[in-house]
Amino acid sequence: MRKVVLSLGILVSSVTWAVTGVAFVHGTGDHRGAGVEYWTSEFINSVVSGLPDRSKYVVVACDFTQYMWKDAAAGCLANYLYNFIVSQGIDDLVVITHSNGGNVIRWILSNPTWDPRYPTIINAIRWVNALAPSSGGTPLADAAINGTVFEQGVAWLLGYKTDAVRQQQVSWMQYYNNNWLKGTPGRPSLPVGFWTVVGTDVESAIWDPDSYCGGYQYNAALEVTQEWLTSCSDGFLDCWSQKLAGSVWFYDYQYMAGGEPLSHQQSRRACFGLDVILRNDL
Amino acid sequence: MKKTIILTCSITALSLLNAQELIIFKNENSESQLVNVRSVRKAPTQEMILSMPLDNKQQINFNQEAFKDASREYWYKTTAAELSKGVKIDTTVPGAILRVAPIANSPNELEIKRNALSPNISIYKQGSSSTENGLKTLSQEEASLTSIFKIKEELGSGSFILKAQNLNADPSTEYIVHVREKDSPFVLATQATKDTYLVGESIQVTVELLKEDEKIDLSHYEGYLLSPNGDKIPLSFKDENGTITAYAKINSRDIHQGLWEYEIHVSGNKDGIKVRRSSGVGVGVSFPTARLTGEARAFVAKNAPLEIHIGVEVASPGRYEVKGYLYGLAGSREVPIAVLDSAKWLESGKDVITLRADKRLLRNKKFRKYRIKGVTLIDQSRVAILEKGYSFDFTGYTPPPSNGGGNIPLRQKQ
Repeated sequence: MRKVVLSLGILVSSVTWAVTGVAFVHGTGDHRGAGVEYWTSEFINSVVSGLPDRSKYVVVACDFTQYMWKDAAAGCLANYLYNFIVSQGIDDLVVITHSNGGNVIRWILSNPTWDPRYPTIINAIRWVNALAPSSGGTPLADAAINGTVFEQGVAWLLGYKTDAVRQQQVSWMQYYNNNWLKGTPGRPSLPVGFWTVVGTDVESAIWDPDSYCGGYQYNAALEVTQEWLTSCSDGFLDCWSQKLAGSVWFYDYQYMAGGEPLSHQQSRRACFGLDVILRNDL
Repeated sequence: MKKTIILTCSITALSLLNAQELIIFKNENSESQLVNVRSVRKAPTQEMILSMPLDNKQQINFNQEAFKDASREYWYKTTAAELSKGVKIDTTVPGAILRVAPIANSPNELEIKRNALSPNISIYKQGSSSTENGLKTLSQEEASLTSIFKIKEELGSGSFILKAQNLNADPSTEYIVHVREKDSPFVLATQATKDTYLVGESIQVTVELLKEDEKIDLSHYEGYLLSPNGDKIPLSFKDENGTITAYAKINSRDIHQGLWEYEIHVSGNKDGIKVRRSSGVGVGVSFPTARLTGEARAFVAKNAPLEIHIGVEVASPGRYEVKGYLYGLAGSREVPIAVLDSAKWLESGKDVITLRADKRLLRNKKFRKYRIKGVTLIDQSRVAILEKGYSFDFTGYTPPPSNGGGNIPLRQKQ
């Protein structure tokens, strides 16, 4: 079981000769040319300040409106990771994913013969820190496909009926998990650790300053979509879905400042110390 | 936790291997006719032969079932004209969530329909004289494309009339009404017989309306299969002693990306409560572009990789993958050794795909018998699972008889 290091002490790595890098992999949506906006510079700069060499990071910007296996999705992600690994000599890569980005990296980890670049990528990865991954899909995707979008506040998650939304329907994800992806119960384990951070609730009280981290309007919209989910959810994903693949690293209330929950919007932002935990993990 | 993938180059030094065994693991004649269809991706042509260690504690289920849906919701299409007159909503528990949304075929169409609905919708309990709107609006955005409401808990459950007034839409405009009762004891359970079918096969889905474990007779059922490009194939239903099965033959002329879906709508009555439910589930459908011939050859030798050549018959040229899970057999115990995974470009005709366990993975894992489980054939050019779940055993390396040098057994003096 991995532990979260909350102190700011210097971590002495047993692999001091390794060249450590970090990759940020966004979630659903077409973020070509806008990878940094997905995470914000504040979040990225905070996390990479934990690197021995702060320049050794890459922010992926691909079209994740597509099925995960498409060239525009997994192919584009492989381009970023492979070029980063080879050009920077990275042999200790920490991949940080959000939401559907966890599925796309799982595609690469699960299908090593799909693309000759995949084994190089897999062998360079130390582990994946999967923030609120949509490993089991979400009933919101089913509803979005069977109707239209929910709210403008979740348009970044559930745009018009894209293939990525289609793919994240619950029964579809079970199909992909059972046939194409590794890491879920009863399936072979992934070749590297897939450590999930699980968001358990959404707070959007207008008088609560915590509700404003990440943007009040986004959190308010996720409070509405929670009606579609179980009592443990981050407004987009049920907890069971987030922890279906890999191993739980921690639940938000265990390590976030003040025991705050992370909504699906907040798990990609510098909210409640998440960025510091990820920084200390490098 | 990190496992290194071992990529071996494509050598075939069979002459160095001193034991080989022919294995027949399935009856080839039982398969459907192969077809030649186009690819959906430009796949690499480079052969890749990989092996990875398999965790000792790993429990792999090689017989994963198809998705079992347990639906506590239903949905139906209506029109602006019908919504203006009022449409019926049946609920089984208080506090159902309603979603009403325009159906659009493009994002532009959605924009035109934006805001046409949300301010004007109300619900009343059927037969009630109350004029108070029974809906609590959950949606917090004025310009939302979808209106989300909760029926006020104090109104309880039963039949309601949902009505929209002064709709700013053409009367023929289509809407979807979606009712979700996540705390209801009434569940529509559906499950296909498997999660991947071949074109030409018949999909079969069991359909049960349940209150906890009690089965409820269906008064109405209908459904269809939906292809990824929107083609609909009606589902037929058969009732055998109260067990309802939906079925349809899967026909398609062209290849599509993504899964097919079945959508089933039912209703029934229990103790005066009308229950309506819908189920929509994705299933994989593949064209039979290739198949396993059912023959394999295992090559086992001391100080050499373990190789298994899997026979494949191909109708559609493309990149094909075979994977399997290697176990050593110690009595009745299976000892996990490695995941074997290989892919290469195959032209039409018969060929083999080589699975290879690197000898480093076999260090201290020599067995007199091995087992390959979960043999799967994948068409990577068409993103299709073609066959899966086969297993077979083969003989391991047997040391030659000793030429002396061992201990002389002690004999008892007479």
